[in-house]
Amino acid sequence: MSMRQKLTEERWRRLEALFEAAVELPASQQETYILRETAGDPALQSALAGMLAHAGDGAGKIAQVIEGLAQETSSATQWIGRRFGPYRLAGEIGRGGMGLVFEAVRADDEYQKTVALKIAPWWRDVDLLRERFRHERQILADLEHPNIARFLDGGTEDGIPYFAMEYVRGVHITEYAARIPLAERIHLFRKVCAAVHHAHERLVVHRDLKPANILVDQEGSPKLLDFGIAKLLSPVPDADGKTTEPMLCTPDYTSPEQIRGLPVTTRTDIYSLGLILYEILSGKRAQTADTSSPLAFDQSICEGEPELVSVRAANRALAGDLDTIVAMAIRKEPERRYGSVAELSDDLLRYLDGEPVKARPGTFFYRAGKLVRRHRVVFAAATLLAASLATGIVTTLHQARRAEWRFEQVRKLANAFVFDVHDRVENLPGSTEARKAIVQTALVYLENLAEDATGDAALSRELAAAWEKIGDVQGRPSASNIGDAAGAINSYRRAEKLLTPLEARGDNAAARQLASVSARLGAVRRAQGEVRVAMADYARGAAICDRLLASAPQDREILNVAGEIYADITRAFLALDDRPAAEQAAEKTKQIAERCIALDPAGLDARDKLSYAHTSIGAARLARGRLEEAAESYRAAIAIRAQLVVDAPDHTAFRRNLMVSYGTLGDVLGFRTADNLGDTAGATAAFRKATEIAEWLCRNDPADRKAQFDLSSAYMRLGSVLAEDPRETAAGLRQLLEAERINSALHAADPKNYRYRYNSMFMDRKIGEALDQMGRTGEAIARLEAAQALAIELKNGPDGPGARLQNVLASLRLARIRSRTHDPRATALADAIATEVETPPTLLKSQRLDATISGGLGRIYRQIGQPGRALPWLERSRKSWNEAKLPRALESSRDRELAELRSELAALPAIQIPSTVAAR
Amino acid sequence: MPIIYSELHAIAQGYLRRERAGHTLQPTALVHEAWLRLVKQDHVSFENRRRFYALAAEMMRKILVDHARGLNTEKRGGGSARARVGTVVDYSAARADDFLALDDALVELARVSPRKAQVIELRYFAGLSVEEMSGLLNVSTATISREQKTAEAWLSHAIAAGE
Repeated sequence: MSMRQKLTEERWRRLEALFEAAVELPASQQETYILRETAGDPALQSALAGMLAHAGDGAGKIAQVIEGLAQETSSATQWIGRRFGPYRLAGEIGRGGMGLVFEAVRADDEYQKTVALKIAPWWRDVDLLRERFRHERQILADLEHPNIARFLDGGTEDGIPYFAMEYVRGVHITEYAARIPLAERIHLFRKVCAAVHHAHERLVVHRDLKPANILVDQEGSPKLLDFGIAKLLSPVPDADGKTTEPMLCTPDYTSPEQIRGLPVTTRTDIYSLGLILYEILSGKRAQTADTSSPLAFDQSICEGEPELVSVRAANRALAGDLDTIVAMAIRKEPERRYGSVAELSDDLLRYLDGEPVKARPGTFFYRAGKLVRRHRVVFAAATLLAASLATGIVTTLHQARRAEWRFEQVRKLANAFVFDVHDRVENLPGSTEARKAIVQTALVYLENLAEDATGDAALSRELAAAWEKIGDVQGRPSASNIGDAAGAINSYRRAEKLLTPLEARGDNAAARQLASVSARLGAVRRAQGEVRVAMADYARGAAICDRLLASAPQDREILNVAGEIYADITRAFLALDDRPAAEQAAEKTKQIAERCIALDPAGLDARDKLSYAHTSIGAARLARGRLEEAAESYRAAIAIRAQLVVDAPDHTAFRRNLMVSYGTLGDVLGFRTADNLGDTAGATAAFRKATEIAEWLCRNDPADRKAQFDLSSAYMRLGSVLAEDPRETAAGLRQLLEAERINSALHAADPKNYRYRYNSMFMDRKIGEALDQMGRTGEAIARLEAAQALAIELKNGPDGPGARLQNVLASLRLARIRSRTHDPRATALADAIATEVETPPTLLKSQRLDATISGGLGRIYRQIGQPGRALPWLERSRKSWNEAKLPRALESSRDRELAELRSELAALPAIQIPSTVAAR
Repeated sequence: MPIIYSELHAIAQGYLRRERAGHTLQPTALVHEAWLRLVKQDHVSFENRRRFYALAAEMMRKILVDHARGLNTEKRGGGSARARVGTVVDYSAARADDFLALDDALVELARVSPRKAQVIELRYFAGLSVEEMSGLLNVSTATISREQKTAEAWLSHAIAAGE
């Protein structure tokens, strides 16, 4: 009978306190302590004494008890004697595996042959097993090889599957190998390889190779067990055909593809063989599964790189080729392992013979490339994208909704397709649809990630980078985009929001990104006509760049961003008509570009930057009225860009840049309203080139709005210049109309876009003039009036002065037409023009423009019979012509104009000239 | 919760039925397997690991107790089966007896010191380490160690004293 008293809380507390105190005492003092403290309470005394007696081995005792029962639970005793098919279980065999294994004999006692019988009592789906068995049975039965334990029979009994196999006596291969020298181990292993290879050739994959499945008998002959059984007993796939359960019996020997539910192939066996080879050579396991959680499990198998065999075994004899061979067999990616077991075996033979082996160590570069390949997407629809992404989620065993897993996975996923896929897609022609698809999916993922990001700087940066990329695709002006400027601004701002606090805390990586985002934000805003807001963005970006460059002047990334920012700032200042600032910014751009070239003279990027710098400087020179110098800069840019197109024909960006350069050159040569070099031929040639490229770009990506706009602009320019030549007016008109057609479509999709509206107005005017030239007066009038109306609307926009000028020019032409027809409306028009011209800020930015407009106005006044008003304008025109510094090409025009003015003036009736007017 | 319970039960049963001779009980492997199978079903989501492990440990223990009772069907009057050694069946029953004694003691311990009982359960039926238990139960490792030792001492004594 037990001497234990039932415990109460009170007694327990007493006992516990006494024990904890007593256990600290040295043994000699314990007895006295017990006697003293438990005097008068024999039950307490014996309990305390008992506890102290077991203090040392308590754990062991408990473990033993539990162990004992556990063994009983799985014990064979309940099965022995039972029949399975023609067999009767005789005794238990100690082996691991997905079932219990017994010695069995045939029940009919005809043969006393012993077989190994494996039963799987927990298997539920008998029908499935039968089905599988039907397919596999013959294959397995035919598998005959001296080193493979033969499969004899199989079936079910009482719903419990059984498999009869050749009975093999031996020790685990690892145990056996430990006792033999290195070369013999390899020989032994090669025998195993031969057996596996034999099975592979007959399309049987083992799937569960491990040391426990490879027994070696006393003669040193290995035998592989359980071939094909694993497949029969493999877990049931779920609805979409993917198995999410890996082999669970021995986590340490699981392969990465098994964990991720990817197909199990012969290469899986190669992986297992690699692990076994590792263990045979070093005595240690290559990998140890961390089974504490699904994520840990996945990481411990799929990510940890095992140490080299030689290192792990601390055995120099294994170093070199053996390291490489093993490493190749146990590569995480199946396709990077040996292609067949025979190859592995051959390489080992080469090693033994002292010949060079075929295995190659992996390189980081290769691994990085692999990552991109794994995420390769066929450039078609979002469904394919979604499929590839979904695969990424489903094939992990991470069905658990643990925050960490989701975080990690989604982050990887977002990175993968946003960067890997997008970068690949970005530079190829014809990819806007694909990019739209990417954007859609990306936005969804990024939204999901946003909540998880706070507090993690690295993730915030990654997210911000992703937002930035999305913004680029949505509407970055200098790249091909899907035309969603508002979306782009939104995305960039989200990136800013994530980065700003980090930058404030001194995070330089975040600072770089922020500079880049600010630049882009400015660019989009500027394109939308919000120049002042854009300047603020640029200023922020520039400040960051300056700060970062101060401590790292050769940082290419920052130099690139800074170059972009300053180029944009130059353009913005020009748009705001702040010439000194524009020139300053342009100089900065050139300096940065030169620094970039110094760092990388042959690099495409640096040269690209320099071409931008030339362009900026050209723009600044132009603003200063130095047209020849501006043309020089543009030609320099063209030279660089043309070469870049040759060097990198697939980079649409370079082509676009070249087109833009031809455009700006043409502008200076003979198109710019305010002033140009009068080189019509040169302008035409340049514009033809620009048109060619624009047409190419549109053909290659019909959905690209930027390309369409560029084409429209190119046609517009070409058309304008042609139309001015009386022999080419019709051709010019055709171009202009085509330009208008494209522009209208764009305008309809983005009605607020200032550029589209401006061009529309400009084209109305040019078309009007061309029509007038061709004698289609009625249509001309309509067009010119339309241009006027639009110009008035646009006066308050970013290019207000430009709009005013266009208005004047359109009105001038209109007035000329009206005066020709003696239409009284001419007077009002002329007066309006005069007022506009005299209203500051001055419209007439150059002498030539002044001369032209004054002359035109004077003629109109004379035509409508107001000589008093005509005279001052005509005089003014003459003065301007005389004072104007003109390029050579325009000298003859000037002479012509002056001659005409003389005759106009002469034709005026004599009138009293007020002194104030004469003084002009 | 009942679904999970029975699933876990089935898993543990299956686990135990596999060949274990010569291998020590690997409760972590069981728990891992259980986790994987359970989370495959969408309706499972464990708020925290503690509940899961506690449940798994409880499950394991319950199964073993059931089995022990099954093995112990024949109580032939007074005296434990240990006294009659020789046959395999008796040996089985002896082991069962030991285990049931442990289980009884554990029940008693749980009444006066629930946490100590839980520590033992998590340690032996779910295979958690001191660190893991410390994390789960939000108690220092020193405390866990101390409580574990005390509990082990008492339980061993209780089993021995029951003979």
